[in-house]
Amino acid sequence: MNLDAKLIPDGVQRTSTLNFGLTLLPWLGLLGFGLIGALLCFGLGLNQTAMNDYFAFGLWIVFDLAVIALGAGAFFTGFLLYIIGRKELKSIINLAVIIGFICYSAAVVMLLIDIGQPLRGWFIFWHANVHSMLTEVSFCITVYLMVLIIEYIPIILENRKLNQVREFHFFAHNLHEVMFIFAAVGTFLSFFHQGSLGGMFGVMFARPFAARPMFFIWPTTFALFIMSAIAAGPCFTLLIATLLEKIGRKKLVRAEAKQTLANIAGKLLAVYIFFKIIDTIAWIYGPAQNAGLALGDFYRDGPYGQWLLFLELGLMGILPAILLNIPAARRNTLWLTLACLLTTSGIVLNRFVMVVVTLAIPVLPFEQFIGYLPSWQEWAISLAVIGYGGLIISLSYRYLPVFPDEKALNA
Amino acid sequence: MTGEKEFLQALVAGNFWYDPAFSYGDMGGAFGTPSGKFEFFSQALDKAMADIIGKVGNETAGRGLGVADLSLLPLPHQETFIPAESSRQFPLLMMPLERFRLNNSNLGNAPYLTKLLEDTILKGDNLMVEINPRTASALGLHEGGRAKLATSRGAVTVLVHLFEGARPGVVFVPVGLGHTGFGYYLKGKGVNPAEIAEITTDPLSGQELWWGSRANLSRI
Amino acid sequence: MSVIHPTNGIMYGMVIDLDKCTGCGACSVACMTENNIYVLKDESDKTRSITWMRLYQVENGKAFPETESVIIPRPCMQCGQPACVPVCPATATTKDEIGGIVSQITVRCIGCRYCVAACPYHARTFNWFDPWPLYKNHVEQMAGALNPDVPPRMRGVVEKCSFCHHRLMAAKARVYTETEVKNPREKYHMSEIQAVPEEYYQTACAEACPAEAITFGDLNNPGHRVHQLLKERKADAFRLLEKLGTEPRVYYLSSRRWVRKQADNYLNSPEKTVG
Repeated sequence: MNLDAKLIPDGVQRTSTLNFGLTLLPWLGLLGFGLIGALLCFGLGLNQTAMNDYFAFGLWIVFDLAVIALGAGAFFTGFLLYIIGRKELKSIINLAVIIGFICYSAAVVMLLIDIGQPLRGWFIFWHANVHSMLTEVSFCITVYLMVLIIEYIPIILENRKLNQVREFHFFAHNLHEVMFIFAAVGTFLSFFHQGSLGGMFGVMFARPFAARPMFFIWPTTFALFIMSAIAAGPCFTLLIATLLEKIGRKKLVRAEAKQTLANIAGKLLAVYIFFKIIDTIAWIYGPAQNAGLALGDFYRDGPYGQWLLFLELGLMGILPAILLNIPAARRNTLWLTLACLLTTSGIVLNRFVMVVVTLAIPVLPFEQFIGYLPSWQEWAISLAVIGYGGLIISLSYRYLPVFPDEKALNA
Repeated sequence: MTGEKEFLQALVAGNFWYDPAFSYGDMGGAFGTPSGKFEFFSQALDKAMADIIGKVGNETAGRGLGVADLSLLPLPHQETFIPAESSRQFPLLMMPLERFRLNNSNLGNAPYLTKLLEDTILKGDNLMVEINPRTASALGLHEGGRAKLATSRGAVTVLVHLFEGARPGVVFVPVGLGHTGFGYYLKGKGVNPAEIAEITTDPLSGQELWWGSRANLSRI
Repeated sequence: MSVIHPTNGIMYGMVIDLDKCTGCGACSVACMTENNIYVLKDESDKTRSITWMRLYQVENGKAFPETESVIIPRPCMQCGQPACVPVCPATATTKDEIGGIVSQITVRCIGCRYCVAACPYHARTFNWFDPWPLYKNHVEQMAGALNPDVPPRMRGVVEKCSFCHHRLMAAKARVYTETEVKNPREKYHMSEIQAVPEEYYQTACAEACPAEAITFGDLNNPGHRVHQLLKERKADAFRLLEKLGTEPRVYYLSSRRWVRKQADNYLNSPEKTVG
């Protein structure tokens, strides 16, 4: 029985209120666990983490970079729909926006916990250093989050009950009319912060693992991060859509929309892998060699071995690029899901490598190679992001018209 | 006491003494040796030896002191250190190791210096002993591993640090930790090698020696 | 960014003679007492232990009895082209235009640790713990005093060696008070003072070293001992990680080739020791 039937969108099937409430429990549990971790960090300081002066960045930064890359589906789908005009993507755009909102809002909260003085976070804006990539990241992400909120609001206002309020209906409708402006702004901002996140590591000229050749003020990682984000973002959106279809046992997104995203993502991924391989070679014979280090110096036995490189570029790079570019594989749900999983994992692995391996490798010849395993507090807060995402998607799926084609596809 | 003058008079009246003023430049009285100069030869030891030899004879004296050449005794020279009975149970030699930044006197180490102790000396509350990697591998020990350091007098738990500069066959124990007092910054950290050191007696001087004890280091 | 050359040519730097350094730690202790650095109960975790002057023990990698070791004291390099300055998002660190000291403004630092990640020398340390309870402990337990010239830090900010910048301020104040002003009506401001005599401004570590292994001064001033030492011992002088292009202002001297080779990475070099 649906006690909240009046809030559920017209013409779609949703489970009972009780069932729904139960499904929320694990997400709330994760959020609660994360809250404990966050309170400990705010109260006792960052010694609650496993980070140290050698591992200045840890799990949270890896998570931040990963979710921001995966949330790139929001701006890119918006770009393809509103700027390029691929109308079939209307089927999936709302989901992409919600995913983007989750990813960016979670990233901002996690960053606030990560810095040593959260109350001073606004200094980045007030005492901005124009030379720093992190300044650019902060400005762009903050503004883009506002764009995402603006893009999310119409979806919320289209809730059956809320839409009955004339002003809300009017507001949501008009916002839709000018959505292309926000899509353009979002695209512009996203290019820059996706790139700057890569730029953050490429400009560290004194850290040979991360340092890259520069084109004016931009290192090669700037372009590589953008390329990998626009390849992985749509894949992540597809994964979430497929997951929801599996759980809800119904079709939600038009096949054309899925194929468009998969096709474009596949081409972008192929281009990215191509440039990434060239960049890796250029790095080995450029910054690495100039610093007096050979490829073998950057890898150690065990979890930091050279297999990381082959995994990222091969199994999680070349393979899904091939799969996504074969139409028959794209149209098969199993192969498509596999390809999307590999792509997103590959990009997460890339972010991990750029953060953790960069810091693990000693630069001074007499320094030690240090290992790092996150503390439970760090895991708690990272997993809370997943809980937060699950919660928002659950609530949106139930109460908001996220999938405009759902009614037609299940008629 | 009424004033300075009275005070001085009281002192002079027999409550203090003084030595003759030292005459700088006059080196004649500097050394109490027959030549009046610095000598490496110990007159006191020579006289004492003469007395002993007079009583028991050359051979007995030599055996008793564990010395082959008695003529060398009053001169600075090296005698081979023979520690207590070595056995297979204790194949290593344990030597205390004096380190910079670790005070091993009756004063506890200053907190700033304890802070500067390398993590190859003190790790948490555990003391690290130094041994040569070759010695370590023969004993099945690896870097940072826990080990039992045992002598005939007892055993303590330590961590192992491998250092190429350590002489093979010797386990070096930093000395200055193992305090039960000195509070917050020092109490309970490390162990004191003196607790398990074998005390032997130098036959010549009768002084106690503890800088080389038979020991064993086994993996825990 | 290109190398930043300080105006007026004053370039504060250090020369550390590794042939003389015994590893006694006096420099590090002097630094800690001078700059109000606290002591935790357990400081054996060197990845979180705050020492602005850190002593590395480095070995030549040879087996007994050919093992040799050297102690390398490492302050902040005050790089000519710092890796840390351009990356700070809140402009909490700058390269001084006069003198070239890389400043760290702890009251502005937000604790993002980007500079800590960027520095290859690990010269920057972060306050993982809250110092305030420790300062209380410091004064009670150690019957210690805090240096009123140096601001204490708070949790969650980065700190590093400042070449005892507060002593530079004190030296300038001293020059100011000692300078005879011809016309009392003319305004004379302390900011007009740029150079100070060598003996007026010495870092705590240089002052404390019993072996006189640390020399501090203006590298560009031929009258200063640092400048002369670099000239006299040119063949023995080296800097850490020169290949990276950071232009460190701390020079080391060693007559031993294996020590000089420890300063940088050399592709396929037989002298490379295991890190």
